[in-house]
Amino acid sequence: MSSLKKKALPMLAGGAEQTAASTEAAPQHGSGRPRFWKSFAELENTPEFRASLEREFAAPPTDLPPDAPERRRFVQLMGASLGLAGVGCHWQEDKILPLTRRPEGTIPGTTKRYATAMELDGVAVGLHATSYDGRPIKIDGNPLHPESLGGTSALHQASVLGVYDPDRSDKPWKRSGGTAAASSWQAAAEFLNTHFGRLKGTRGYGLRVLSERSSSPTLALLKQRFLAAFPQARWSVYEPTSGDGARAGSLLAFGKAHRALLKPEAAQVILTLDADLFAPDFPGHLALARSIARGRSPDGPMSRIYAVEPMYTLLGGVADHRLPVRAEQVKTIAAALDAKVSELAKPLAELGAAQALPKSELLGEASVAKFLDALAKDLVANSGKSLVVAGPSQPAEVHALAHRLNAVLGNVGRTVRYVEDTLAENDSDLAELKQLADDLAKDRVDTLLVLGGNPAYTAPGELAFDTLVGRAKTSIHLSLYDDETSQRCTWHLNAAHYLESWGDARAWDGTISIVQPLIAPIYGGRSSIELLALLLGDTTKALDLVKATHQAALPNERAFRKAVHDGVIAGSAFPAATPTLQGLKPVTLDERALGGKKLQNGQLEVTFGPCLKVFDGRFANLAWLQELPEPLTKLTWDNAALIAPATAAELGVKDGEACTVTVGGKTVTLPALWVPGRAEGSVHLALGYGRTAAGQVAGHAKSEVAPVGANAYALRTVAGYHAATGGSAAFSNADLPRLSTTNDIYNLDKIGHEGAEERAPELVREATLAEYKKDPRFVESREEPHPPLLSLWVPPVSYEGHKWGMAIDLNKCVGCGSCVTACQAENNIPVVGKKNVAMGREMLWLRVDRYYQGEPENAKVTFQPIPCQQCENAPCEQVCPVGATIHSHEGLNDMVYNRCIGTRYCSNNCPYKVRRFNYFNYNVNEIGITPYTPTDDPKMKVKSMVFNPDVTVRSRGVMEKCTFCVQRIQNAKIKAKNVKQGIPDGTIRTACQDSCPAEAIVFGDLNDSGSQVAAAHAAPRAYALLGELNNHPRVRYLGRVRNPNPELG
Amino acid sequence: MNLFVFPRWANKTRALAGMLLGGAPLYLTFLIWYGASPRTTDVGYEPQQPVPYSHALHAGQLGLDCRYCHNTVEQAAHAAIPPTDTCMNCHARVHTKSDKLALIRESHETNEPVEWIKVHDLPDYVYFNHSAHVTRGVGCVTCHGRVDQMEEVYQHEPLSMGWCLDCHRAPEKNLRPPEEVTNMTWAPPDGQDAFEYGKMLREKNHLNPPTDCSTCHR
Amino acid sequence: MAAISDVNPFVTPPTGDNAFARITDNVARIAETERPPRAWYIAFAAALVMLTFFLGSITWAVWNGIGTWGNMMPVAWGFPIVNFVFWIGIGHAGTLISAILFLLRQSWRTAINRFAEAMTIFAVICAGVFPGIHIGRPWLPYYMMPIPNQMDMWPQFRSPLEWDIFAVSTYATISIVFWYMGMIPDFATFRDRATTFWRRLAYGVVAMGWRGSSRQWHRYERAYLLLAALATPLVLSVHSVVSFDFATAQLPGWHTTLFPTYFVAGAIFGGFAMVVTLAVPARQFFGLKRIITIKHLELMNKVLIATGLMVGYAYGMEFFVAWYSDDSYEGFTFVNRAFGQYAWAYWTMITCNVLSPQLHWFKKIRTSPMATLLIGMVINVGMWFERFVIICTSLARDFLPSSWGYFVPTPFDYMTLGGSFGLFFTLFLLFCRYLPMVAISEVKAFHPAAHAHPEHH
Repeated sequence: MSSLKKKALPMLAGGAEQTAASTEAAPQHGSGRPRFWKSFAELENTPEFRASLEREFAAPPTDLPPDAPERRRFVQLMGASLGLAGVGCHWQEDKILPLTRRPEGTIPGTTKRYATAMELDGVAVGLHATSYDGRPIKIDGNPLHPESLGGTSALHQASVLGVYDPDRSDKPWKRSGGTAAASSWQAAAEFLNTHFGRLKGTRGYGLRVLSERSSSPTLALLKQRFLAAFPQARWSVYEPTSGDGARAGSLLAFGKAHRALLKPEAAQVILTLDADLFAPDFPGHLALARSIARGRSPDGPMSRIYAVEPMYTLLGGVADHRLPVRAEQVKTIAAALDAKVSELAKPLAELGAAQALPKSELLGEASVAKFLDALAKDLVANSGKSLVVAGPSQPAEVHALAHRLNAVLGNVGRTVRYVEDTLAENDSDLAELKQLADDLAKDRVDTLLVLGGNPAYTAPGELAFDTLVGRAKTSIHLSLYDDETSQRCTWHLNAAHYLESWGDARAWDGTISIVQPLIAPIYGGRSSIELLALLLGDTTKALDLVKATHQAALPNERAFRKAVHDGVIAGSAFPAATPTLQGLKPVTLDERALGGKKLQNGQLEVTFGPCLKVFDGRFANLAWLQELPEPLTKLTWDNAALIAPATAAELGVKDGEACTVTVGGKTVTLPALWVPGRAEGSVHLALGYGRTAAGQVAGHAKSEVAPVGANAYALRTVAGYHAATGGSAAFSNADLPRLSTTNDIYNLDKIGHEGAEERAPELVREATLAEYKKDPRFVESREEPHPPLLSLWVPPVSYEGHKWGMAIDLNKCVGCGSCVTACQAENNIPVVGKKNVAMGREMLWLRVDRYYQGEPENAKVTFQPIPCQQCENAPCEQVCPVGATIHSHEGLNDMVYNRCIGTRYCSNNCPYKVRRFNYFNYNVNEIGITPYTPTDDPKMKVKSMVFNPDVTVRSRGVMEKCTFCVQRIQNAKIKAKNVKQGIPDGTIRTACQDSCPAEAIVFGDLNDSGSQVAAAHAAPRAYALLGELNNHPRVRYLGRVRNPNPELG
Repeated sequence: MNLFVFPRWANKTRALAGMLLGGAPLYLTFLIWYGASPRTTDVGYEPQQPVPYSHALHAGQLGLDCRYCHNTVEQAAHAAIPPTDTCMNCHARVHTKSDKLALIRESHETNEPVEWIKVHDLPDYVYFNHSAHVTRGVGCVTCHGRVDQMEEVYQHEPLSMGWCLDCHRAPEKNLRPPEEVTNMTWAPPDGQDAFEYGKMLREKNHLNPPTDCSTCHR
Repeated sequence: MAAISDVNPFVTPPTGDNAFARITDNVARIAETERPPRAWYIAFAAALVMLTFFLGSITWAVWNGIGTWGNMMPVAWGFPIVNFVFWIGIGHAGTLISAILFLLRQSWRTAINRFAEAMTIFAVICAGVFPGIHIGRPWLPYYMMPIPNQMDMWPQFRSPLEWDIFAVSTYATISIVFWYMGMIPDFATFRDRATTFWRRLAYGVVAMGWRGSSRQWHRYERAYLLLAALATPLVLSVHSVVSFDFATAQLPGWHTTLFPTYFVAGAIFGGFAMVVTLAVPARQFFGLKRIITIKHLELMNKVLIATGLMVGYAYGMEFFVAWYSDDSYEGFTFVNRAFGQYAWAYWTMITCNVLSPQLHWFKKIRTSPMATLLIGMVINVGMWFERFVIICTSLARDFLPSSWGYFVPTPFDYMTLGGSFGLFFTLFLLFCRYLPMVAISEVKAFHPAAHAHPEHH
């Protein structure tokens, strides 16, 4: 495990930053305070929740406190605590095991970064993996990679936890007649040789392959060879998030499959049609977040964003105008828009006829009409500087219309480019899957080879794939986990993690990255490449296969090493294409699409989508992601039926209580959650929950671990894949565990709601672009009036040398939560589980506060990341009786775990409540939700390998909080001083800053006048949160500026 | 008058009682301060190493520089216990048959590491960085003692927090030219006062060791 | 006793001759009797059961981590600190009665001061448990002591919690010494009356060779006076310091200059309430009706009215200051207290602490032992809720709405709260059984028979 990769190469320096707002001063003006509110229930103040408040104590998550460590753990626990207490422990002898042969240039106990790439849904994101003594412990973005540009998503951050997941399968399994027998790769290899040898004889008759979508050129070559060897075989690709619509749409528009490459930076007006550009299933979401952030500087060109979408997305949060409509109605909007725009823009004839303005009740509604007219005008006025994007879940026609609108508006080549989609294996994943299911049902399948994926769980419930898998005489599943599919196959083969195997993958624009392993396969798994090679009787190593594939581009070892080192193969992107738009037929609109906003005669629309956290369910067993609050709902450890309050009221579905959603006779019961900005008559279910064979975290029927959340795949049908119609939802009295949310743990009563509403404008300070131009220092006018600020204790330090500070731009933050998980990975933050979260004991050092504003039907949302503010005049420091939190000479609040005795006084006195307390020893834990368990079970030991050795692992009973990644600061300072050099701005980056795709967070030395952070602190939009308390926080927030269309006001 | 009305001789016990009352807290305090201090518990810790490697021989008589084996000491936090290969550099030719070296040869063949026992063992929540001290001119001998005279290495200094702070607050007495750090017998040139010399070095190299908590605890 | 020479009208003179013997006998026989009243056994059994719960729940918390309680973020201080402040408050009346009333020559105190002091000490013991167990790492409280150590680390003297350590321990020490000193002559009495060897041994040792010689009496009086003078400022300082835990924090609802006075008044209020709660059954079951008279109860009830009004004034003043400060956070906190999620707790507090004592304006009620007992209990409940309201409502909703919460106690919280009463009553019942419940010598000092001068007839 600890073997270092001989091929390992050093990394390049981090990415460049852009500086924040300019600093000219201006007179102050008062300004109207918008209405803010926090959670839905509080605004509505419904009788139900008032009732819940009348209860003296709202029901606790359980009668008893959350599970505490078992007795047999007690001694170890005390041992650990004593260790932290500094009481002896010397006589427990420590060993040092040096390497017998230390590879050239490796220094034990230091970290190195290696370029690699992670592929998801056929799109690769280039990454830098940090390795400590040969084990990956942290993931960051690769600034050279077009998908990442240095940013990452929470999924990438958490993927490193997956390497050490003790629930991962560690051996092949052979199953027959309901009995499972542990096997070995050797046995498996023998079987495969004989079996596929036989299949060669029949030229692969009855052989079916079902694989995940992959962009790997090497895998593609192997696939060709495989199909050549087994001509009768049929190879299908399936992804549960698959946006067939996009591909089909480009076929419809251009006659050939194309990929659209967006450049929102260059756009003045952006329209999204049910498209969340920041969601992990949207190609290039990280780069897009950065691009949009850069295009929205209040001091530079600031784009205006319109979002037409059924439910609040991350992009919707950024948008200046939102129009919530049901997914099925987006097409109507698109058609109407085409009609209006074409009318205004008078497009050339060869672009074909425009759509006729649909006769729709929806368009009849004044607000919608007004919205569309203003939008159309705005788009046309910004021809060539606008951009229309359709979402992956929308049907082909909408995509085609988006392509047409971009052509009509002359955006092609400016804000959107095209490349030919040469990787499109098929026209529709679904058709393929349906075909396969059909073959299985008719017993046409002799051998089913499943490469990755988990179809038994992710296939639409309608296909009953879970039962069909068993129909194949021989079924082989290559998978990281012995999951739902594996347990129904005759063979399970344990796969290698992407950080364990050589490979290659393409970005959305075609750029090729070499996937470099950081560690030898811990459980001896193999990658798809290795398995295919094995089936073809090819004994070449994966690395050599990859090299061979890129022989042309990388002729020699030097070139190859450079490619691995950089993480990209230069110039490997697809060539630009200029497809010609074909005239579009009039789109077909059923009466539901034409109907009004209101619920259509009780017929609900049910939309399905990948979860921002666990995606399609493949990441469900990564506790970091389960505990990450979902950006908009702030849900943890659960999925819910997201429904508009009006609709819910109509159906009698109660907020936070169980409801039963039915589609085509199939039902799912899960808690309902009233969400603002959700289209009426429409319910959303997040996919990826309700796993039964995921593991100890997300659910495992065999070991009686209840699934987390409810399985929405059950309701999915081929017809209603993304949005099923004719669904229904009803109140259910099923007794489900209460939802664990972090932002608003308990309903707010009227008083609480009013109080929150009154103070929120001061906490998140906003203005429109016009207001900002008039008064750049608008943030000051939002400040709470306060007496002159005098302090009892004289600020003790003069802060010579360094003076660390941070600035967070509320205008850039999209609230995706990548920083939260990055912080968790960097700082060994434990996971506390659903019950503890429900009690308000989550440990996340960095939280992202979410405020709603305006009317629930279409509320605006604002995000505010809250790390420790590192106050210069810190309330926490003055009250600690043992001096466990002390001010450093560089202005940090040092938190000393080993001195802390846990009086929790500091937390009481912290106005930001950023301090977190270890109520239990969350690291000692049977159910394995946290990375570390000090047992002798080797699998459990493996978990502790994910820890960052530069950060102390906290035990029970101590306080902890954000440290500005002090370990990075100290290491950088020591390194610099060793070689007698200074620390240039940008060398020290906090984990949150590193991961942020939107560059919203800036960190640095305030004494360095040239630093970005100093500039940000001096910016007119900069304000201190609760500055009137005289705490002198070291974090400044840059007020948010919106850019609404004056016509829509 | 019966016994329980305290006859006159009982008065003599008053002094004793007073001493007990007053002395107990003092004694307790002393016990914690002295008894629980690493100066008492840790100094002199000398575990038996699996291989009888003699620093006295190698560093002392043969005069190997510390950095020949602990070669990362100037770049990294850890001084790095040398890999087996380092031993074999010489012992592939020297004492190739010695039983003392059996473990080393075995490790060299099997590629299994030798399990050395840690002598200078700081708590896990303390982050000590060798390079930060060595490159600033704190000699090995300052913390490790005369290793060149130790057959079996033992802990020479308490390595307690107070002990660290003593030096961080007033490093002068322990400073020397960085190129002299591994010199076990170094003394200030031409009989200068060590403190004055250190003071000079401190100004010259702009050394002001921090005493912030996060300097060592992260 | 030249110092205090006026005749005490409140001690009903015992009928017949040799009154001193009667008083002595009256008190001493409680400790000497073979079988205390059945009520004592029942009470003691109940107390022991509760004590077991107490120890059990503490063990559980130390074993598993204090997450076994409902404490969370933002309400990081829950029941344990509420209980701590509550008990410290109770522990005020004793020293107040014995020291301050002594200096004020309130001779009626003699009937009740002994077990009031006992109550004080037991309450302080109960209080003392909580700071120790509420911390996250209960095995490390010595970090708060200024002991030289290898870390070169000292406690942080800016922290009110550090001040608590000294305030409370000083108070406990002085109270115990004061209490013990007062008992010495009575121990001697017990010793001399003792019939068995072991009783004589035990009481003999604690009586420290008291002979009752006038020289001893002289020294005794001096020392007593000095200790009283020493204890008096402590009565005021302890709870002032405890109130600093809150007053020096910047949390809305805590950050108030009113707190020290407010807390002391509240403490005396609660303390006296507890005294009457104990006095009534004591005089009932141990036949002390002739020593602890209705008059004593009535006087204490009057004290309750007075202190009750003070506390009520403080409640009102908090609101006024919140409004007058024009600090929106402060303002919100108090509106939220009275009408927000914790309104139920707030109004319980008002009813118990401000309204119920007003009943004592009626002589009928304040002279009825039963009513006295009930109201005393009600006030004790109210005083517990006062601390709950101060701690939980302020913490639950401070500055950022995003981190607001709602405290939900677990069964272990209730067990620890109930259990602490178990500890208290166990100790108190043992005291009643084996120690002089009334200061015999002092009561005698004010007995008419002690002043049989002609001019008084």
